[in-house]
Amino acid sequence: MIDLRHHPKLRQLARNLHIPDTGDCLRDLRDHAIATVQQMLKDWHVQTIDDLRLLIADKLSVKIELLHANEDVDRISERYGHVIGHFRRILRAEFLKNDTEGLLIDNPKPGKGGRDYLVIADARGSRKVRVYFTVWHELAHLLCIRGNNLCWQFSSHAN
Amino acid sequence: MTQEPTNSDVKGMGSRIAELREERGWTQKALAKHAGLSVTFLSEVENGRRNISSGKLLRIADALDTTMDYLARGAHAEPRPRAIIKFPPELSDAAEKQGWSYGQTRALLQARELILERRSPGGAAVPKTFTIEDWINLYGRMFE
Repeated sequence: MIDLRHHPKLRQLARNLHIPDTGDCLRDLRDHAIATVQQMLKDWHVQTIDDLRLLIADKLSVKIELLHANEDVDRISERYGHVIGHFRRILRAEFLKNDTEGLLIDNPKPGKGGRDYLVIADARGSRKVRVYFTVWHELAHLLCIRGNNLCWQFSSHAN
Repeated sequence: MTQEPTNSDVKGMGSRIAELREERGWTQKALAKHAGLSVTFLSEVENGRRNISSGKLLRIADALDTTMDYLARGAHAEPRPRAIIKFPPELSDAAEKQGWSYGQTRALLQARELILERRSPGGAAVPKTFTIEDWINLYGRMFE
C-alpha cells in the first residue's frame, strides 16, 4: 500500500507550492486546493454545485466539455481542432481506443479572450454518475500548481 | 450567485459579448439558448441598456468559451508561449526505426504536448518523459 502522505510526487508538488514537504503532503495539498477555491469564491454567493464548478472553471480559465456519446468526440474535434490537424485522431485514441476518463489539455483554439485549458470528461454510460468528480479531478491539477508556473509544471512548454 | 458586477462599463461588456457572438457566427437567439437567457434580455445587455448579474454573465462567458474577466473588463492574458517544435531523441529514434512519416511523427509530438494530465481507471498518467516504447505505444493508439 502506497503511503500518499509522503509520496515523492506529492512532496515535489508541495515544494513547488512552497509548502513544507516533511509533513502530511496529501493533507497539505488538499488544504491548499480548498484555500485556493475559497479565495476564488470571495465575495461570491454560489447557490448550486454546478455553479461552483462553473465559477472555478472560469477563474482557472478552463472550458469544460463532456462526452455524452461517441459522436461528441467528432463534435469537440471540429470545434477546437482546426489548428491541430490530428486533434480528432488524438481524441479518438484517448476516448474510443483507450479507457481515458478525463483529460486536461491546452486549449488548441484559445481565440480572443478564450480560455487557456480544456477539460474533456467522459459522461458516457456508467461514467455519467462520476463525471462531476472527474471534472473536479482535472481542475484539481490546476489548483495544485503555482500561478505563474503552469507551463513549467508540465514540462511541455517553452519555459 | 448574487454578486453584482464590479464593472460599470456596461456598454463595453455588451459590445464584447456581441463581438464574440458574431465571431462564432451565432445569432442572439442561439447565444440566448446556449446561456439559458431570453433573447430580449440578451439584446438589452449587448446594447448596454441593461446591467447583468454575475451568475448570468458566467453562463454567457461559458457559452462563448471566454472568461467573465474578459467580458467585464476586456482583460485577457497573452497566449502562453509554446515551445519551438523540437523532436526529442527518443521520438526521432522511434520514428527512424519504425519508418513513420514526418506528419505522423509530428502528430505524436502534438499529442504529447497537448495532453497535460489524464485520468483513467488503469492509472495511466502522462509520463513526464517518453521512452521509445512510450512513443511506439502512442503510435499504436493513434494510427493502428
